[in-house]
Amino acid sequence: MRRILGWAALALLGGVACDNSNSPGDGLPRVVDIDQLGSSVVYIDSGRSAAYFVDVEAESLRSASRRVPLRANPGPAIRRPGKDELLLVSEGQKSPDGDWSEVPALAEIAADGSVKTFDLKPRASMRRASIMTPTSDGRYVLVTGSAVGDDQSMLSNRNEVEVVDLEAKADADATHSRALRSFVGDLRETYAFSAVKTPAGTLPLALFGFPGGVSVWDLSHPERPEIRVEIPELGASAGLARVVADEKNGKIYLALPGVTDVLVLTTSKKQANSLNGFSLVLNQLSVGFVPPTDLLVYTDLGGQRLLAVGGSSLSVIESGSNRVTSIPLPYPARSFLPFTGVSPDSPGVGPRVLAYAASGEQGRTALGVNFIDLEGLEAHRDRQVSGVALASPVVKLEDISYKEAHRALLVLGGSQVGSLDLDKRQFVPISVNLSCPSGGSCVSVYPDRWHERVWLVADGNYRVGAFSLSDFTTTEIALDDPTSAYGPLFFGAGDQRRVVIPHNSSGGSLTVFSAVDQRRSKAQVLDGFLFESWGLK
Amino acid sequence: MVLGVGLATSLLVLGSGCDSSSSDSAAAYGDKSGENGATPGLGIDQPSGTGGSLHGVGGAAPEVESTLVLEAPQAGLHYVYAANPDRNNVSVIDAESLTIHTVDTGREPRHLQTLPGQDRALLVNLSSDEVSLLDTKAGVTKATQTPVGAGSNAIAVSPDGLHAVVYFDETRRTPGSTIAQVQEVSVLGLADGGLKVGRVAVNFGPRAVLFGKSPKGSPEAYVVTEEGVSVIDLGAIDKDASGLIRSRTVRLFTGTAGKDADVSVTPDGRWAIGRAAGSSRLRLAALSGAQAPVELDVSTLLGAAPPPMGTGGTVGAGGAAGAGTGGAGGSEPLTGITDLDLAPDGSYALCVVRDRNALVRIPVPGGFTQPSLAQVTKITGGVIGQTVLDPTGHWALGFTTASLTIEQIVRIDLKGTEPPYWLDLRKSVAAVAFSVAGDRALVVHQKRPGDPNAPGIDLETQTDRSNGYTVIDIEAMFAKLTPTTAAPTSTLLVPGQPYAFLMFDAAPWEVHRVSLDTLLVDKVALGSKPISLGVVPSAKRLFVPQEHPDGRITFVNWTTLLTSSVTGYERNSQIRE
Repeated sequence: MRRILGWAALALLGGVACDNSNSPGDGLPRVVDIDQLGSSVVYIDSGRSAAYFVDVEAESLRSASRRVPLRANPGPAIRRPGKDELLLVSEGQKSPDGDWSEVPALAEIAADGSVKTFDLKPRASMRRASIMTPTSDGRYVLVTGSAVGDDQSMLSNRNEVEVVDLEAKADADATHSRALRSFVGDLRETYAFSAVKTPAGTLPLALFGFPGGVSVWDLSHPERPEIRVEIPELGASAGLARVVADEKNGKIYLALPGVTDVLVLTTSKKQANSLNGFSLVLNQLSVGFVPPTDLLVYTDLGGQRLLAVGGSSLSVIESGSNRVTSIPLPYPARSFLPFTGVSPDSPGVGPRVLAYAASGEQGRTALGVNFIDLEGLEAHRDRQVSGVALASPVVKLEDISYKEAHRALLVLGGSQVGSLDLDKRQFVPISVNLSCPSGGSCVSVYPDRWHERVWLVADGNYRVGAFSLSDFTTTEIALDDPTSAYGPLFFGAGDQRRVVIPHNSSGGSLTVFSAVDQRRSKAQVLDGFLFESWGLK
Repeated sequence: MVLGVGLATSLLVLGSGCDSSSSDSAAAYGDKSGENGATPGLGIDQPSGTGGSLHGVGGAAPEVESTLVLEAPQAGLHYVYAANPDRNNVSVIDAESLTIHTVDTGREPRHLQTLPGQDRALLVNLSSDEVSLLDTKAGVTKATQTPVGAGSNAIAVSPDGLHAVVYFDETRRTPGSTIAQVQEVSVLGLADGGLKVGRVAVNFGPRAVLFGKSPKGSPEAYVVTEEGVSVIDLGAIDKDASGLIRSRTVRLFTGTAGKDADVSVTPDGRWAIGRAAGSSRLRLAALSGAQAPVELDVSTLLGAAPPPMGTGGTVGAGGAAGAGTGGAGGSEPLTGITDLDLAPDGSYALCVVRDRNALVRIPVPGGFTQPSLAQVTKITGGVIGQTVLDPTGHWALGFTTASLTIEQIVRIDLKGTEPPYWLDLRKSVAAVAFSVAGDRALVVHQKRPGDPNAPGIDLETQTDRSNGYTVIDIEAMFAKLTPTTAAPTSTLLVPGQPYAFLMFDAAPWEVHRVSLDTLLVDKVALGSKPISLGVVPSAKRLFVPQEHPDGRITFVNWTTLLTSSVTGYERNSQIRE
């Protein structure tokens, strides 16, 4: 393994052991996120308000880093849907006299390192732990603050939100702020939908969840008031159990914790004296069993159906008549994984669902998963439901389907991993020798971008493993440094496919190895590239 | 069209049979309360306690008439109005877009009635003795409250929607309710989008309101009371905004004799006909009040057994008759009239005497003063205890509900040109209704005791033990039976459309659409138990309110049968900008 170090890094490595120990404004690296853009690994360094790009596909890794300045106090990034871009919020900075020296901003970071900055409205108190919620088309981003500022400000309002139109023609029109009217408590959760059908056209909508109700805001007309829907069942202790939008039909389904009814908000025509171009109608579907934890909208026999799961029951609700058909499940389930494929009993390709429980209360007792064929489910009921037994409860499930191969990767209790063939309904277990401190599963699962292998990483481990999706053969690679919370990143194509493992190091540390030739001797380790002396451009 | 109210009032434009103490009521223009749908349909109560053979039909075996009293959402032209008594508001649902908005009303809004062909509705607020007039325009509903008589709990709206009468109906009285005005009704003038209110004193115990026109063409309301009819000149409310209007009393009964009587009014507004419960005596009174009531004892018309129809034809009634005459003559004892109908044009009354298998046709008013004008017709070939007349007055269907084993119905040509035609059915009859055009009839059947799914029984036994209904092509006398798991409880004819819809009293929860052209049946599944049926004309939709803690309505496109439901519509008052 070849190690590439900067000389300044050698001097500092021992002194900066933990990146999270650094304080904002002390000028030291404080990495809050690691992601990838284009051919680069991108480090978000909040301590020095910059993004560091390391081009891992460059011929010379030594000279492939550069620094991109950001507005003060950047937070973790999210990927912009549909684009190879990162989005992050910089909280800004106040001077000692209380004035803003740098106002907060949303940064849109492109793969080439260019940054577009959208000013956010400075609040009385500084933002902390801002949450970004993008629409699925990546055009709008909602920014909410999840915590009260700690800058000695007297006032703070956690119901202040901002929407940024990343494609606004004029910068002045890009950002709009709103102090939402709460119900009986502060804003708790945010959902964004890109194209909800309404009588006024297809609109981007945001749904905000509060104790006591939800609000819906038209993001394309942010000057209009949000529509408030009082829901007394939404208590202070828990938020919405599940929110699913059927955007094409203008419906948003809400599952509430501890409530056996599903609420449906349907967009309808504008009411007189309304400032919005549409109205909402609240419908209430009785599921008829324990409160549902997951919802799925599908079409059967020309009509819409809502599938709800909770515990050991499944309900099909015909949206036209609100008729409910309840079906028992072989194993308790909390979540759905829909797919379109064949089944052992039905060779034709059709809509199907895997219903499973992972990590939840039921997960501890669910020694199996359920397959449901959706076509004609109300008529054939439990004849279209089958179960696959497992040796241990499911801890984690990852959809690794690719093209015609429908598969899910299951992490089971007892450190067992396996592939579940969704078409054949067969589980192939692979033993993993890991001991997790918490006693549960500490394995993170990362399918590679080439659909060849699934990588298994345990935080803080000196090894990473993978198994082949074609023949389930395993590979394991020893590392010089332990793994971090940031998973492997995948770059390149063909013979140049590379796997990058980030490590915990305030100066920056990566192991880069070939996905084709995974020998340790061929791997490279980059250290200290977050320091100016490393040769940053 | 005859205006009438019976003991067990039908709510239908299509009459059904009645028991021995009631008459049929053609009620599209004279609804008992007016609150059960401006849309024609058939309310049905399955008979109880009937059973066994009715060989000769014993005199005590009752004829059972359909009845259905419901509190259900009502449809206007575009909107459905649903009262939310616990929230003191009304949900207004756009039947096309399913947009819902709410409007605040008085306290405990409970009894609601839409105005025909309008997006307006009247609503009684029980706890505040007020009526709310709801007026919806462009998705906004304005509510105007006005006080009415204490304890008012019923609304009757005139067919043209220009007037309404709000009153206390004893049959709707709830325990603990306030002392009600039992001899006072409130008259509402609703012309030109306005609301005028007047109070009118009437006879004791109003229990139904009919509407018609005086011989001079002035709109009138006929308030049926225990004593007879109180006639209200509705034109006065339009002219006199002071609200003090007098009624004209037409007394048919004395004491409590009229408490459960059935009363009908001829559509020309000239005559009221009443019959006390269980009596064979009819009373005719001029609504002008100019003449004393005339009584006719029908039993006296049957002094001699008449020749059977089809063999001897009809004959004039023999013997003296008229007020004060009594006692049935002839060789057979007369146990009573089992049905009384008025012709759609009000020109004659038609009585059925099951013991004699006889029809007695009494011209109005001539037959009351000259009993010899009455015609007695014996129908042979089966048992007839009731008749239902088609709206055109051409046909009557005769049948009995008093037996589970008699499975026949007879078509009678009221014009007298064709002989009676007996049609064998597969099941006994519970109720019968005609289509508006009179060319189709719907027969709802009784079921025999026993499990229709018991092993080893043959098809006929299974059919007898099932519920079901039959549609009859009147011209061809072709009958198509649809066996059902549950008993039909209500039917509805879609105005101007060749469809009838039925709902049932038990699962599977569904409504049936019957094509009156092809007689074929299509089914629409529901999420819960239906309460009633109604139509929203502009949206071309059937609406089916259902039992649900938060209210549920399913809308059905009556052509495509595509459905959409609104559940928990009361909660929509919690949506605001």
